Amino acid sequence: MRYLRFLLLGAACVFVLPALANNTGDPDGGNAVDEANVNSRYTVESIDVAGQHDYTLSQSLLQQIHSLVGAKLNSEALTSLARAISREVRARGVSVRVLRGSEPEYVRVVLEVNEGHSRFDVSVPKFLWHSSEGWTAEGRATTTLGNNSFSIGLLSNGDDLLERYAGFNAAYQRRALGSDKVNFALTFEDYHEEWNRATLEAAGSDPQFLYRSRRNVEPELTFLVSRDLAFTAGVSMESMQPETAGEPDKSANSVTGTVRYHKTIEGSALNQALDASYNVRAANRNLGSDFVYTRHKVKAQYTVAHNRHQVEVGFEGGAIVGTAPMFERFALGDSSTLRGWDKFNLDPLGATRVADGSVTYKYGMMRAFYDVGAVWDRGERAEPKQSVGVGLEGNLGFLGHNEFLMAFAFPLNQGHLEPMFVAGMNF
Amino acid sequence: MRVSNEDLYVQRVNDDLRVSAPRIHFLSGQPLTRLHDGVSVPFDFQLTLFSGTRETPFRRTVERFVVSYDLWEETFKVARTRGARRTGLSASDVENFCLQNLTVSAAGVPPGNRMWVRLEIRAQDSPEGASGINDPGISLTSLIELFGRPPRNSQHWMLDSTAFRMEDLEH
Repeated sequence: MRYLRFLLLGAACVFVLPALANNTGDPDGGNAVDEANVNSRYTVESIDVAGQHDYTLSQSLLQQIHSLVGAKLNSEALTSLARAISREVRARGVSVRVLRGSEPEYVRVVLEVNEGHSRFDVSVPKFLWHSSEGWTAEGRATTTLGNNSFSIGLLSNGDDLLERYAGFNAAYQRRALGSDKVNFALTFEDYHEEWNRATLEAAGSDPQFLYRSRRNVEPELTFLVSRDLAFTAGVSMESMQPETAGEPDKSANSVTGTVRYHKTIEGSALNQALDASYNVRAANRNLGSDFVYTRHKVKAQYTVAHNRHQVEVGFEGGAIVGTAPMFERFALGDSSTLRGWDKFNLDPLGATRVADGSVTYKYGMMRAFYDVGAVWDRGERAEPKQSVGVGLEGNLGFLGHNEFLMAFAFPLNQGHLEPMFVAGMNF
Repeated sequence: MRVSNEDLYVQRVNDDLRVSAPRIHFLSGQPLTRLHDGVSVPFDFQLTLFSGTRETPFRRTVERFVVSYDLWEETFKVARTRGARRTGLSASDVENFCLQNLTVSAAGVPPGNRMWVRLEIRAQDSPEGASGINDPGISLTSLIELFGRPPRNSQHWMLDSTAFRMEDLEH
């Protein structure tokens, strides 16, 4: 009954709100306006992007621009392009101006990016309810001054790790540090931990596994090697206050490195995207760390879309060599991995090895998914688990992807059906 | 924008009522700037007929006209979303065309009843001028954008006629 109530509420959000959002005044859609524009008989001579100071547009956007040059003026396509640029450069907006071209029958298009000199915004990057984990919520305030942005976030997250961590984080980011290809970020985090009963029982007589709070300072430099490839290097200095009174604080100081690759291929029938990353964190005594370990994690996702059909295939794997603190250990069974399972039933202390994959099919607002994965420790045998699920997602068109998402997931081969329910946005 | 009621003239065409407003120029200000920028601007018209009392509308007509400005010929094009369209017009020609194609039926109004007509014109933000904001999650900016849209994006004119009877109007 509880699930049914959430289902009805979610369905109302998914079906009714988009209808309201779309009912903003143009009964005939953009085509009527496009045909009505007398300038649509003229050929586009050039498209300029004005106000573009410290960023470059992606290959796909440049291709979109090139495809419109030399063609008849298409207001609908220009609107779509302006929105895509605004989204990519995170501008306040992009306005369209059409001017006379250098010859009769030709026009020039100017897209003006409105960045604003300073910007303040409050956002909710993550908000969800999970039937096993409870609530997870994060709020963030960000102010941007030119190339500098400052943000402060408040959160309580019971989804990402085996611990529920609550507290605040603050970050400073500087784009184009000396070069357009280099970005700098400095993050500070201060969290208090809560442990699940299953984790406390599993830790048993070895409570030094656990800590009551942790702080992290993490400077990073990101090098944009190409449009598709970025490399990040940094240092993470994490200190933990143990649960046991009288114990000294412990530290996990590590050097970090991440390689990210993103490729989008847009075709006439199929749109494809590939995201891949590799992350390594290495802590050793030379950095003053009490924990000595190396943590590797790879992640890849391939998406292919055709009309309203979309298929996503994802994989992630990881391994820890040495003894890592709890926040580094791997777990499956949350809102994005092995969704039919409770992570505290699978391994309440986490593990040093992980491998999981998932296939999601989406059609319009509907989605169905299959997850498989295993967590285990070195020397143990991996026992893969599987789950399947269905869900609904809705986009109002102004908040971003997965604005509202709700899903039921069921574990397979468990002997009994105990579904997991997830509802929220941006997860 | 409210204009005194002497600015709205009502004309009878059989059972229909048509209006003219020679002192209203909706092709001006921000909408005209957008038109000169080569984008099309939709204008929503509403003509409301009140009968007997000025509180309850008797009948209402809603029309949308999309106007654009030819950058090379320096003339306007207007298109009614249901059919008629004209090109090579001046600004005043466009204003007249819109009002000429806007009628409200007075059929069924009891003889001798006092009537009033209200004309409302609203210039909408065109799709080309729309801004896109897509921060992840619910953000203050996007909510302000959503809920603040009507007052920011539209210009509005409203005119009321004086009271009249059907018998007062010539065919």
